[in-house]
Amino acid sequence: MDGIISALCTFRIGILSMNPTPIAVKIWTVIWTVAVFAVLWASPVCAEDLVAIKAGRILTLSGKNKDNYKEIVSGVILVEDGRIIAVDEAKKVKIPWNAEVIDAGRHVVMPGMIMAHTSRGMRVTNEAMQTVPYLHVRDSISTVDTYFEEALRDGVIALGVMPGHYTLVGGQGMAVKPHGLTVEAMTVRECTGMKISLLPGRNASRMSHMQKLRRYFIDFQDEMARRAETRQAAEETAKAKGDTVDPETPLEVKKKPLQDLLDGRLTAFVYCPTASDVFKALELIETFKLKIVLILGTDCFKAVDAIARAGLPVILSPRMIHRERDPETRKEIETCPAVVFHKAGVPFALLPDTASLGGRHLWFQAAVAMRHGLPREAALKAITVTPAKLLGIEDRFGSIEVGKDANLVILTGDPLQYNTWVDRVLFEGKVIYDRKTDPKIRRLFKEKPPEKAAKPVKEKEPGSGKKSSEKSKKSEKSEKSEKNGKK
Amino acid sequence: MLRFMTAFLIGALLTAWISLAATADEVTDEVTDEVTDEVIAYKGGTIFTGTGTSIPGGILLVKDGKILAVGTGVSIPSGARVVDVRDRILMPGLVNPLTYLAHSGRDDEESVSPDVRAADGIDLFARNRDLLRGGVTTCYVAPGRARLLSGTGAVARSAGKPETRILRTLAGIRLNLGERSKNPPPLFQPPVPPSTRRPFQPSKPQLPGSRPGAMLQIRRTFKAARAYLAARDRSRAGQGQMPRRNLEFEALEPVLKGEIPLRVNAHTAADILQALDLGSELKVKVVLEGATEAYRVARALAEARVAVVVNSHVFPGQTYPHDDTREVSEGLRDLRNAGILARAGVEVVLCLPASMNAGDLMLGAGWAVRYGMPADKALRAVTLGAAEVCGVADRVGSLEKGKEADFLVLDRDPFDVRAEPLEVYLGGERVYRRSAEKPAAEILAVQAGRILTLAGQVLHNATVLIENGKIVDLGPSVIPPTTARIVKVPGGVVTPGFIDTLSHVGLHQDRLASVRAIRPSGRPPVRGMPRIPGRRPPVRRVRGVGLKENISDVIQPGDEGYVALLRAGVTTVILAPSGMSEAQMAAVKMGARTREDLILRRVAGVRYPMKLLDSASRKSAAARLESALKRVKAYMAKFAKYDKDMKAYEEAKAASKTPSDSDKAKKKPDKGKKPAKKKLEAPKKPSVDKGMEAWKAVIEGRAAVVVAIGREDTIERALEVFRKYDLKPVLLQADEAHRVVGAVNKGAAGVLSGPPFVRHEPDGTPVFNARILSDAGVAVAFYTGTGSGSKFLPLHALFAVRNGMSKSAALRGLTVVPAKLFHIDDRVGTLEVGKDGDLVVFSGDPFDLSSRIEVVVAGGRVVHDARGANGTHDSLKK
Repeated sequence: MDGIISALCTFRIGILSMNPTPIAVKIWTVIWTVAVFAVLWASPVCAEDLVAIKAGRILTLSGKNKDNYKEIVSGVILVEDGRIIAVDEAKKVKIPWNAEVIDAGRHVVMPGMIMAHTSRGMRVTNEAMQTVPYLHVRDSISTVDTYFEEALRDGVIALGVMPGHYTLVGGQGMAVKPHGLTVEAMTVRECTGMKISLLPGRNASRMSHMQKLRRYFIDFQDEMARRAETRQAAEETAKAKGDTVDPETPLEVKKKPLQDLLDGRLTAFVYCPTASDVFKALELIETFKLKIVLILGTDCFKAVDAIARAGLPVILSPRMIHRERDPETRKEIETCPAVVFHKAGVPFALLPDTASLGGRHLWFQAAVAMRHGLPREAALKAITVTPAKLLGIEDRFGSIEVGKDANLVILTGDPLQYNTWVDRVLFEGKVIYDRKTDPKIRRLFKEKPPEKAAKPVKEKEPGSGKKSSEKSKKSEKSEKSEKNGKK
Repeated sequence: MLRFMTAFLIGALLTAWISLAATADEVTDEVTDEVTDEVIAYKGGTIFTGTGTSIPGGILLVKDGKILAVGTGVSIPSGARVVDVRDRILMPGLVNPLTYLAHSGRDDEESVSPDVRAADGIDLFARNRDLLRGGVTTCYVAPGRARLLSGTGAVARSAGKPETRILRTLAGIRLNLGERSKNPPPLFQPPVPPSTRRPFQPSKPQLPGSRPGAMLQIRRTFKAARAYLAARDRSRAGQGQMPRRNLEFEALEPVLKGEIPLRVNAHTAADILQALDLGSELKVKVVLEGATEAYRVARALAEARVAVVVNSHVFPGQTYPHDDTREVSEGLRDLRNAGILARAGVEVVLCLPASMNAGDLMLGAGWAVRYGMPADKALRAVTLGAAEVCGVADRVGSLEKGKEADFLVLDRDPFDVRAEPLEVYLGGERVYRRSAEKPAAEILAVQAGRILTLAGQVLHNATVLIENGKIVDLGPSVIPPTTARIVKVPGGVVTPGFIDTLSHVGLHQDRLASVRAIRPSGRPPVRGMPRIPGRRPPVRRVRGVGLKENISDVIQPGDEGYVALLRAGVTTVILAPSGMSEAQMAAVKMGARTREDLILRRVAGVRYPMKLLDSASRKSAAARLESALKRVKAYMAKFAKYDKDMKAYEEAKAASKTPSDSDKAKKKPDKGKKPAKKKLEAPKKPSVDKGMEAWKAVIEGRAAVVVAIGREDTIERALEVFRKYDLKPVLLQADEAHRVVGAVNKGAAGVLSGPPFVRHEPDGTPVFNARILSDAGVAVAFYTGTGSGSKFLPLHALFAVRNGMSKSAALRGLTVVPAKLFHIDDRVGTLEVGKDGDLVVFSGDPFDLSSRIEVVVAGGRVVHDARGANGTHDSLKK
């Protein structure tokens, strides 16, 4: 744009230097002025979607090597139309004068965290019918569920919502962002995969569970084969008669997802509650050629060799530590499955836990894994890049790279530090969450909103604010003590 | 009851063992010369192959989890890792032909669901400690048991890698006849979504509601399955349309083709016969399960050549669940079932009740043996026989070339009531080791063909049980506890540990220095120690000092010399300084680990030299002895007087004190008025002389007096003197004792005989006086009189036998005689309960030149073990 304006200036000086008549000068001046304004009007000076984020540290998580990632100290991310167009150190990036600058100061920027699997945020889900591949979570997602609000507050930018573990073929899942008033607004990816659970239902044994699954798939395959046969026969007879073949009647909507699954167009998210079930999942790959992502129980790390050999990605159990007593030595053996899978080279995603205070946060889970020996890079990738890949949204999510969407989180400190807060969450370069304006946070710390001296919201119950702040302090303390204890 | 049971089991076993051992020679020796580092050789144990042969001292070669070779003459490839398993029994891992390990959750609701696979219900990562503890390495896992055709069973191993655990995914179709499969729940199958065209239907009832209903359902199912399979095959061949796929029928295909059996669970005799009819009608191979009343139709079963998985109906530790004389819907139980069937020629394999731990299979087998099943058949029934019934005999069930190296290492016979594998190997990998709980006591059990207790008994095929260094039990019916280490020498002869009655072992030159270091007062060293050249201590002073010192102060446990002695079976030594000076003799245990254990008796004897003085004057020798004894008596009298005086003093003191005390208590003592009492004086204690103390022990009969003596006249005089003092000396050397046999027999406790044994009369005739003395009834013990040369003590005894001494006298001279002479027979000398666990195991007769010492136990510890796997004379190499 500068170039155009300077060109125009040069052009004008050039015209004036030609010593033209006054009228011509006037005409030229008018033309020139109109041209300048036109250029200015059309130029991005007026554009709103040029954003520059200045940060103390940027965790790009974009290294190609799995143990190597780029970390930029005092860097700038340049975002245009929601897309990252540059990310580098501040001195190397020139921030356009017309860019909206989000100055994060010394804060840390990382890609928004991604939850690979959750069965929450839904209402009235199916847990009775065992084989319902045609159900889709979009029909039960509750956009106003506080679960999404909390997720956003915890820095989660995308969630893979899937049917729960209590059905055999449970239906299809989708990827959503925890922001938006309608399911359409929240949608990140229409369909991420089909849920299959190997957890036997109530009153059933593992044996009949597998029997049902085999029968279901084989019956369907048989039906498809028959369909193809009839079609072929019809084509042949039509050909023989010289008639035109009628267009194929489309498959029943109810059956389409199962066909996609068996044809490999749809990924199966297979839940394996125990290590033995991993081998059943492998049998499914062998007999039905399924494309599989494993959702694992805590002790499934025992089957790590088989998983690594099959080259399957996994979603780990929310319980980060598996404890087992050795029957011979009576010693308690503590295993961190994340570390086991990392060593075996299996890509894995971490899940938050609802059972503990800290485990609610993805970053806490990553920190726990790190405490048990997982490298920092791997821990961070397990809550960003890998889940993005598993949900098939890695082209837009998961890391800070040129070309990806600016789905970022600004943190007050290091993501794996227990006293770090999520300051802001950006979706496609736009702030969708800000701690300063978060009503819940404001209620919790009512006396002093961090920077702006906005008036504290008056509480109806006088004691509640104090109570909750105490609670948060307590939780911090417990986390701290847990860390110390573990060491 | 228990005793009867164990005795019975052991008896049965020994017979089985002997009969098995007899066929061992038939085993072909396979020779392999492959050179690889992965080969492991388990060497030296008794290998029960599972095919009916047992190989004592055999070798099992394992490579890549498979058995490479089994036999005695197997050459171990160089580079192979050799594992010593002597004293152990190697046998194939047990196969339990019917378990319910997959039974997590309920049975399927469908009455006919043969495509339910037990393999899906198996936990591939379970540790199965309960199975392994019992030695069960392979299990047939049944699908549910409450439906008519409840599914396909699988065969799985108890441990190992998850990928290799399942040996057969499809191993048999379960058919439940009888009460259990009756009245299955009605099926409710709701349409999704319900519509007017497909509305909700009421639940569909299922067959069978009765026994005929069951038969109807089975016939229908099999007929339909045959029709389906035929239609499918026709269609594959290009005729007709492909039928709708039906997994139920496809699951029945291997049964219809005869690849896997129809495993019919039937209990009453009627059901069993029904099952046989069904087998011939449907043309399928039938294996019977449970078969409670099979004994009633044994002949029919034998004719039909149907294998039967018999439930052994043992409920150890549990309440017997039914009154089975009344409740006959499940059949009338009879514990003789397996025995009757086996004798009728039916192939019987054994399983346990479903409520029992499937690992306790051996208990079921033992019970079957008790109730009449031949022991060898019972063993086969839980190994190879069971593997054959389950269709995995090509992989497991016996130790044969090419099979999986799934085997158990036992330290006792499998039928022993306490038998529990020490280790379990699966695919050559150790998956279980009996937990190394530290036992409360160290227990050792030595089992041998003959035990010479030297206490008047010879025990055949017996066990000596040693706990914490003491013999706690011995005899043929002793059963070692589980924690015991068992040393087994089947043809061996056990004797007590040998005693050398005079040795200097362990008294090295450096020990002399240590004596000096302990006593820096400038007193001369103990006489009899190796002399330092150029310095000759004056005789008079040394004699007294020598008696005062005790040699046990300067010895250490674990001396190099002791090791050499232990190897020769010498476990106790009467230690004295070298030379023939007057000195204390200590009884020392060679196998001790601590100083306390080392010294059995600090003063076991006093050596009194009379030989040295021969040349001076025989009369003066006797006179000296007499004066010495007088001195001792005087010394003892001094102490006796002191004791008497002391007692009187104490009494007087007590008598004078009691009233004064009571006075004091009543009124204040008046200083001016002292009672005019005679002042009591305590008697002065005489000074203790250590040398005299040693003599005192002799006089009091706690120790021996060993008189180094030679000529007949000296012997006679000395004996006279001793008789005066009522003492019976032990004569050392006593070259001419044979000339005064009568006097010696009367006046001496015994004679110590040592080299040179053979002396010559002046006319040149050789004399072996030990024989003459022992023949005359004199107690003769042997000594070596050297340091580490004491290891030749058994050789001396051998030489004595060669020169005409009786074997029993020679053996007694090594053991019980010296123990008695030195008053240490409360601890050593014989094998009796309460005595020290010192023993020697010979490969044969101890006085046979070719027998070797196989094992030496000292203080309850195996201190020497020379048993070679191939009968090589390892002890000679060492």
